[in-house]
Amino acid sequence: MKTKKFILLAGIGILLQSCFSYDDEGGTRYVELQLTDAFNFENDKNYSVGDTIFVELNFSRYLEEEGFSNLLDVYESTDSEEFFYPLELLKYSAISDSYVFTEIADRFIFAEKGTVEEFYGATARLNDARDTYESRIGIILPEEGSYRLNSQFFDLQSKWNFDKVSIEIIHQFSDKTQEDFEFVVSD
Amino acid sequence: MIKKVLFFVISAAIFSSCYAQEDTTLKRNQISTNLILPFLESVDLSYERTIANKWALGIAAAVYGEGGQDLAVSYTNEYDLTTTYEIMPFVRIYFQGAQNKSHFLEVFGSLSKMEERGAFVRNTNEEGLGVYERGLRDFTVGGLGIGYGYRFLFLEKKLVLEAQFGIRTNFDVDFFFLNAALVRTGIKVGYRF
Repeated sequence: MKTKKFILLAGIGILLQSCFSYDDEGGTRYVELQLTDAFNFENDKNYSVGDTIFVELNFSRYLEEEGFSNLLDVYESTDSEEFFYPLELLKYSAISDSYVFTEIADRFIFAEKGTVEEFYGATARLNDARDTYESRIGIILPEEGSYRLNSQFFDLQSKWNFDKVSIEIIHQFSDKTQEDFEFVVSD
Repeated sequence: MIKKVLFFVISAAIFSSCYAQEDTTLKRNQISTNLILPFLESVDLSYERTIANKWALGIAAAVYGEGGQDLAVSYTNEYDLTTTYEIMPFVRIYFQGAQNKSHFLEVFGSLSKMEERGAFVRNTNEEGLGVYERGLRDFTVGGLGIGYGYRFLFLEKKLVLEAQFGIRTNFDVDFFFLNAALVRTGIKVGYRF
């Protein structure tokens, strides 16, 4: 009787083991990559009304991917000529005692490389040499105040294409804090 | 054609059983195969071992051809999923006893080799760079199924004829119905010893 019980339990164990799924090839259409220190903001800390600040972004189309020894060609994988990223300017508000989101009128923001997009973002475009995505965005500072560029969400997203994977690039700074993106504009 | 073959097999079994003498020796082992699958360019083989009055344990394997994909009843994936082969351990309960003709209920596991056409796979191009492209992806997936049927016994309970309905679904990370299929469904013929 013990033998039968053992066999029955072993059988049930085999049944449940079958629920195991093994998939070593991936197969997802969403790929996540990591990028470090690709954004550059030369912060002078103190500006005068009418000055312009620039945010630059440059990254190679060939990026490392975790788990693989060779570089990934993000352009050939996505067919995306540009990567979108959010660009938010925050202004200090005494009444809320915090930095709050500030809309930038079209006439105060421009792109020397890449494009300025709706919904508070910009794109980095593949350059003429077809090897680097580039963006250089200028923001004119028309009024006084304490400002901060929101550096927490500089993540990049490829354009959607049904026949290609979508790549999200998570950006991080190795040695910068929020304070490194704060500046004051005065008369 | 299928109807004629099935009619012949069933008729032969029924007539021969009329002349069979009762065999009192217990038969604990059974091998069987599904007669329907060859018409779907597929084949399977089952082995089961009676372990108690009403209980049996077994294992089955099936290899599916192109026609085997007709067993699938649902696709929730945007890609073309096909099962190439499948291994199915199962437990059965025979309500009238494992040594008699009987209704039965079974629960079975499934470990299948799947092919996904149009999935994104990471290839290496001529420059040695990784590139994601649509292609053919192989993977193994587990599943669970349930079946119900009736087993006839003929020729001193050596010849088995079963009619069974079975359905299983695979599990993946999404844990939803990926490709429910009517596996282990059909008319089976087998031998007990």
